[in-house]
Parts: sequence; C-alpha cells; structure tokens
Amino acid sequence: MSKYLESLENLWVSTLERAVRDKRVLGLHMKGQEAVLALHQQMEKAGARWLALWGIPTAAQMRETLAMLQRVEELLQAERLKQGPEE
Amino acid sequence: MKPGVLQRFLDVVMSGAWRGEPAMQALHASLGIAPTPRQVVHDERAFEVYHYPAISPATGAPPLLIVPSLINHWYVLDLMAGHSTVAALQARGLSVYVLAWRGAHDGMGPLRLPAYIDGYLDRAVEVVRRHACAPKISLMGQCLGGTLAVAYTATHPETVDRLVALTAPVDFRHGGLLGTWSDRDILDARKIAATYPGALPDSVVYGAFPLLNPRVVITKHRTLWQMLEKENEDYVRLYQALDLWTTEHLTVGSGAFLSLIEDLYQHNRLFDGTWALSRGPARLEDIRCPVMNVLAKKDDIVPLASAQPLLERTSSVRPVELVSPMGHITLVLGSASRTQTWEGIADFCRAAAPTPAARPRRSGSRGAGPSAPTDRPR
Repeated sequence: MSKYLESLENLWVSTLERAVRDKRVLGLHMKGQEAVLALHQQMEKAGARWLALWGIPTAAQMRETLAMLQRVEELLQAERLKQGPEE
Repeated sequence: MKPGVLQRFLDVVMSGAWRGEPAMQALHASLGIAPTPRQVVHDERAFEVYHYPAISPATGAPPLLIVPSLINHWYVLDLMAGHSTVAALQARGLSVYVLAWRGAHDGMGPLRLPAYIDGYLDRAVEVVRRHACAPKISLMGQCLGGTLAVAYTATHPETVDRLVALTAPVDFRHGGLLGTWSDRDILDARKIAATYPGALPDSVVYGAFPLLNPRVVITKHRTLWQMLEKENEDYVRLYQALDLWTTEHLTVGSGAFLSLIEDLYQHNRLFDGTWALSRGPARLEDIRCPVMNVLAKKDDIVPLASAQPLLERTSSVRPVELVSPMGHITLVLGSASRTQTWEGIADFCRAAAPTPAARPRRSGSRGAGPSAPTDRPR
C-alpha cells in the first residue's frame, strides 16, 4: 500500500514539476488569467459608472485620494527627519 | 492511527487561515511569535523601524539595519524563542534595527521599487543613524530586501559601512522558476497592474508559490502527521509559526510588482547597472564597502546562481561569502545551520573595517570550503 502511495506521489509531483516549467502550459494558463483580468476590468468599469450615477466615490477616486494622502504623509515624514532628531 | 491525530492535524493545518485580526493576534500570542522585546523608533504608514539594543558586551560596531523581504512579514527574523535572528545578533553585541514593512494600500499603487529605495529605505537609514548617533550603519537585506539594500548601497555609499546580502537575488537571468514564470512571453505584468492599479490581491502574487517545490508541500504535511503521532509539540509549534509566516502575506502595490517583474526579472537592470534611482543608475561596481554574501544551496526561491554573482560585480574592499547547504528559510531558522549563519554575520559586522590598502588581491584561492565564511579573493 505504501509503495503504491509513494509511486502515486512521485507521479503527481513529477507531472506538476514538468507542467510548471512547460511554456505551453504556462502560456495557456496566462491566457485564462488574462480573460479573468479583462472580465474584472469590465466589471470595475460598470461598477464605477453605476456608482457615479449616485455621486458615490468610485474605487479609482478613492485610490487617488489615498495616493495623495500617502504623498502628504511622506513629505511630512521627510520634513520631520530634517527638522530634528528622532524621539 | 492514534485517536485524535486526524482532528489535531486538521486543526494545525487550518490554524494559519485568516480568521480576522483578533484571532490571528491570539494565534501569534499562543505561539510566542516575535518574543524579543523591541522599541518602536519610527512609525509611518508604509513601515516601522524597531530597535533591539545590543546585549553586553557591546562591540562598538556600527548599528545593523535589517531589511526583510518586501512581501513577507518581518517576524521571520524574530520567529520564536531560540529561532530569532535579531536575538542572536543582539546577544553577539550588535545593536539591531529592523525595517518592518506594513504592506501596500491602494494609494501606493503608483510607487515603483526605486521609490521604496530612495524614500522608505533612505528614511529608515536616516532614522537609525540619528537614533544610534552613528555616521554610518551596517545594512543587511534578506531576499528581495537584500536586492533593495544592494541597490541602496550602490547609490548611497556615504551612509553604509558594510553590507550583508542574505539570499538576495541580483542576477535575475538565473531567477529559477520565478524567472521562468516572469518571462516576457508568458507574464504581462502591465495587464495585471492595469487591472489592479492599487494593491494586488494576494492570489496574484502568492498563488503560485507552493508550486515552486510541490514535493516540499507534501513532505511537510507528512512530517507534521508523524510528529503529531509522536506528540512532538515543539515541532508542531515551529510548524505553525513557519506556516503562519508563509501564509500571512503583505500586500504588494501594483507599481512595486511591475518594477520587480519588468525592471528586475525581465530586464535585469540591477545587474546590468541600468536601474535608474534618484541619484542615477545603481551600479554594483560602485559598492566599495565590505560585503558579505550569504547563500543557500537548496534555495528554491532565490537560486544560488542568482545571488552568487554579487561579489564578482562589486568593488568591495572585503568580499566575504558564506555558503550554507540549507534552503531559503532554513538558512536562518534550521537548527543545523542557524548558529553558523548568525556567527558568520556577527563576526563580519563586528570586524574592524579594512583600509583600502588591505583589499585582497584578485588572484589566489577561494579559501575555506562551503559553509564556512570565506574572505573571497576577487
């Protein structure tokens, strides 16, 4: 029984190891991923249009605000370091 | 089969799954993660800096700033009592600082890796220099943190006294399986970044990591089962702690991901000296300080061929190479190798900096065998 399991494990691992190195398999996988990404983008756009109808901030607008806040924090931190020693 | 082993096995395997912040904190506490007392000396949204003061005898060596990988939590460096790199280094007389990344949020999407080096890493170095009142520091980077540390040292030589690269990839042409997956013909990083312009979902960045070595995934579960049958609780706790570290990821911003794939894996800009930072391109030849390259022979994530060429490219006055027979993580946590790794790093950081005249000649033998720190002649 254990020999059978061991050979099954070896077969499974070697098949997997070959598959993740095979550019054809990887290419096919990426094509599938790209289709999922395209669908995700379309849904994001549709969601943003729907939210905009109601005046609700979209994900993109929130990202922009967060990016701005991040930039402000970084400037403040850099300034704080210039001002004096750390507590 | 002993009664209750199956239930315990399932409990342990599932324990690292995300069950909300309070549950994860409770798990951290029960496992005793990050046991070494630390002081927070800097705190901002993107990262924190922790200080672990030297335990006597203090050596007078420059303070050591450790930069962990950008994609993992810092606590692998202070995993558990007896498995703590920071505790081992502070016990050897080094004043240790750790840059603890906090993970990207959606607003950090536009930031590429050079912004991390010139902004966050530079600020962390400045914090350490001020806190320790030291003109220069020792910089140690692990994995991708090592790559960032190397690029920083190349462009900011005035603040780095010596550099330790711990399994840090520099030559991405030999990126192993991760390199194959990042190939231009296979991976279109721009499409991914365009789909997720802020922080990337975990599945995009980490989903494929278990496939780097499928046998390890099977073996570790089998060993766990055997140890549960033997009621080896120490092993089970270490397993849980390591599993937690490998499943609890930091979110990565799309810009950092794009930079990692395009600049490093696809164009190998750091090794070719064309990676543009704010002070100009990072050129490995510009690194003149003492450099220690710590390598792991069984590394699945950063192959030896990707990390080893660092010393050949730098102009270091004191190039030292330490090759361990272990893997990426077992190098610092494996019971067989960790003391040797820690000793080697501490010795390197404590040693007096050589004058340029003391630089080894280019000719000569490679020195001692593997697993021993060697002053590697260039």
